Parts: sequence; structure tokens; C-alpha cells
Amino acid sequence: MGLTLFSYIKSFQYDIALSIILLIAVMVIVVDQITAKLRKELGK
Amino acid sequence: MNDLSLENSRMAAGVSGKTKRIPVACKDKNRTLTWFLLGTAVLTVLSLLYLQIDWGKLLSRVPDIGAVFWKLAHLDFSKMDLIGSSLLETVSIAVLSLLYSLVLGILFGMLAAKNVFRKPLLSTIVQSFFTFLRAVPTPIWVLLMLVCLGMGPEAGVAGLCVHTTAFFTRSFAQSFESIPEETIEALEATGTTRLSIFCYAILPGSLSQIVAWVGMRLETNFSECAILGMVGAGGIGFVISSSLQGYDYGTAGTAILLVFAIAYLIERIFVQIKKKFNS
Repeated sequence: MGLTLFSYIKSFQYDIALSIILLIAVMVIVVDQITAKLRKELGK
Repeated sequence: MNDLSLENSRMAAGVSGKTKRIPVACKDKNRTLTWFLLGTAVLTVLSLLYLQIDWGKLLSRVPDIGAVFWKLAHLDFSKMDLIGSSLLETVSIAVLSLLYSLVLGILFGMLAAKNVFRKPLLSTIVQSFFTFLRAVPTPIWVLLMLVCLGMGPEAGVAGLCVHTTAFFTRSFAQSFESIPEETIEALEATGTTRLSIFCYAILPGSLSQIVAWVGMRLETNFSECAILGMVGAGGIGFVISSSLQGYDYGTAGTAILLVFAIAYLIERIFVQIKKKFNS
């Protein structure tokens, strides 16, 4: 993903680069929410 | 034995016709754990299938790892002036980004904490915004700053600042919220302003936690700086990257060793500072 993002930034395709960044952010938030829920469940 | 005690002992043994079901507290937990382990196993298999790792090639190259580390162990001090200046640049980037983020983190942490201004909507908006900033990894922020500000340490400082401020906002807000509600209510009852309550009660009460967060983050920032140099943000990372690309393993080994030494030193210093705060 990093390589793809880097190549889009280098080729000045900022719209696609921003889409990738947003996708990364969404994925991180989703994984964060899932692990937080898991920790809560397992910590009961 | 009378009838009552006989019934009690039978119930305890679970042989009575009117046995009571004892709820098993860990039943749900076990189910979650099972699903978690199953999910992890499925994801592992899918990852292995998708990546199609050549295990034979990987195993055949294992001895090369030892060879590379052996070359790195032959330290070369002939370029110490370059390594020293780059290391100083890395420390400066880490310290500057930390200081800017500390100020911004306290400011935004104050807005994100639910017990400072007591505006839940504002807290939610600030927290959500910084959750997004935190979700984007530091190298990406530095990469974007490199595009905006050009090559050099400025991009490193700015990129690190974004992620560190987001991290501090969340951490400091949690620290501020850990101050007992009674203390704040007592000050509110005397008519003290919100800002005064923050400056004279909440902030001093969270100081030891802030010091701990800052220490941890300085160490992280320093380590991240070493990586960020490789993408053009300056510092020791650039020396390590260019030395490895030019097969100058001695210089790379010296630089890596110094990175480790400085990171360890930072950790020890902050352990001592934290001890002083707690004593």
C-alpha cells in the first residue's frame, strides 16, 4: 500500500493518493474499533 | 441429619430434582475467544494464500542474515562527522516536533476532555478529528509534508508534529479526565472559572502522567525519525539508507548502534525523571 501511495504522490496524482490515505485511515479506525471491542469482551 | 440439611447437601451435590442452574460467567468470554482464534486462523491462512511466500527461498537466504549482521558488526568510524551531524539533526527533529506537539496537545486535550469545558459535542468533534489524524501513520504524514514543504528536516518536524499532536490530544484528554470529579465540583462551587480550574487543578494533577507520555513519545519520535530519514526527511535515516545502498555496512552499523544508544539513553533519562516526579 505504501509503495502504491508513494508512486501516486510522485506522479502528482493527489486525488488517488488522498483516496488511499482515507482508505488507510478508515481501515485503521475499523481495526481499532474491532480490537477495542475484543479487549472489552475478553476483559469481562 | 434433618431433612433440610439433607436437601441442602443434595442441592450442593447437584442431585436434587429441583437443581438450580449455576450461570457460568466465562461462557460468553470463551465464545468470543473461540471466534477470535478462529478469525485469526482464517486470516492467517488467507494472508499466506494471497502473499504466496516462497518458503524455500526464504529458508535458503537465512544464512545471509547472519552474514549481513557480521558485516554490520565491523564498525567504521571514519565518517563520524557525518554520522554525528545527522544524529544531531535527528535528535533536533524529534525534540522540536515533541515540543510543538506538547503545546498543541495540551491545548486540544483541554478541548477533548469531557470534564474541562463540559461541552460534550465539542469533545466529540475534537476527539473524532484527532482519531482520524492518528489513524494515518507518521510516514504518510511526512511524505505529504515532503510534497508540501520539500525535502529536509522541516517536513520531518511538521509530519511528526501532526501524528504526535493527535496522540497527545487523546492521551492528555484521558489524563485530564482521570482527575476526581469531586475536586472539580468543589472548585466550581467557589465560582472559579473553567480556565483557572484547568490551570490550577487539572493540569498540575495530570503533570506526572504528561511527563510519562512525553518520555514515551520522545523515544518513539526519535525511532521514527530514523526511519523517516529514509524517505527524504533528513537525519540519521538518510545516512543508514545510503550506506546500506552503497554496501558501506561499517558506517551503517555505527549509525544503527548510535541510534540504539541514544534511544536507550532517552529511556533511562525519562525513567529517572518519572521517578523524581513520583517520589
